[in-house]
Amino acid sequence: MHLDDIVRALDLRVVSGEERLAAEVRGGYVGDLLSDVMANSKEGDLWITRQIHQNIIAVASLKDHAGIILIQGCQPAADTLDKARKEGVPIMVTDMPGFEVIGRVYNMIAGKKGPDPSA
Amino acid sequence: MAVWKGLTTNVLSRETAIYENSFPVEGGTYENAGHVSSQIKALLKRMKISKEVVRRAALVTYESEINICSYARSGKILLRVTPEHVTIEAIDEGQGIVDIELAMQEGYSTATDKIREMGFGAGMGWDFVTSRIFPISFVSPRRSAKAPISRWLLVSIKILMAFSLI
Repeated sequence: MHLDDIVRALDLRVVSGEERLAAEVRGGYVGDLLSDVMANSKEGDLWITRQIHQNIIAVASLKDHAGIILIQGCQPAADTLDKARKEGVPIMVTDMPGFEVIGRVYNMIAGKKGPDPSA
Repeated sequence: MAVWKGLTTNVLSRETAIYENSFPVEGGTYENAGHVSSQIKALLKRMKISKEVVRRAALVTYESEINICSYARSGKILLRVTPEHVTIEAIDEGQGIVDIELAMQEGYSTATDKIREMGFGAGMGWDFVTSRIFPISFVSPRRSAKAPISRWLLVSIKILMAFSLI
């Protein structure tokens, strides 16, 4: 699963990191608590949040996330956008509420990985 | 890559450093938060240090940096790399901790609303460091609950963490 597949399917607006849309998305992580995201998210995750301040770029960059989706019409702060462009971190925005975004992204990633063997 | 068992500062100081540097961290602002962690991550990556050590080192540096940004007046992160270990030491000039045992508990935090709004101060940072990274030493002079908040301690928190490379 590549980031641009998710961008197209969910009609996300890409505001930074356009050059990295071919990145592989290995999983997802949801959270607004930065310490939680730092401790528990994984490399290649697509991070879904409604935090818009510039520290999200440091977290996404340190954790090598595939990108960040800002939900519910949240727009990145100006300094967040500057930093994201400088560091090449893809930020995508959508008007959809978090529940819907998470469900759709999960289905796309889970669908790609095949049926759950434990089911 | 177990962290260490029985490793002491004496053992570490006897090892010859192949890289050593001190990175200042500005307190009271999040403007540059994560900057030192990014630098350290990039440096360790360039030294071809294992991915897992780089990941953990970046994580503890970030937590230490955020702690300095949130609570201290200023601080620094010291990075030392020897053929055997990567050590990270965070030292800050702050107000100290009133109850260290309480501060180490998951979920306990003295963060202000402003800090929490940013997504920090959930009481996860120190718990993460102490329960998953096991620092070699965590020193903080106990601050009296009655001490004026304007009283700054030259070393309010000093935490030493190490990662084995062999």
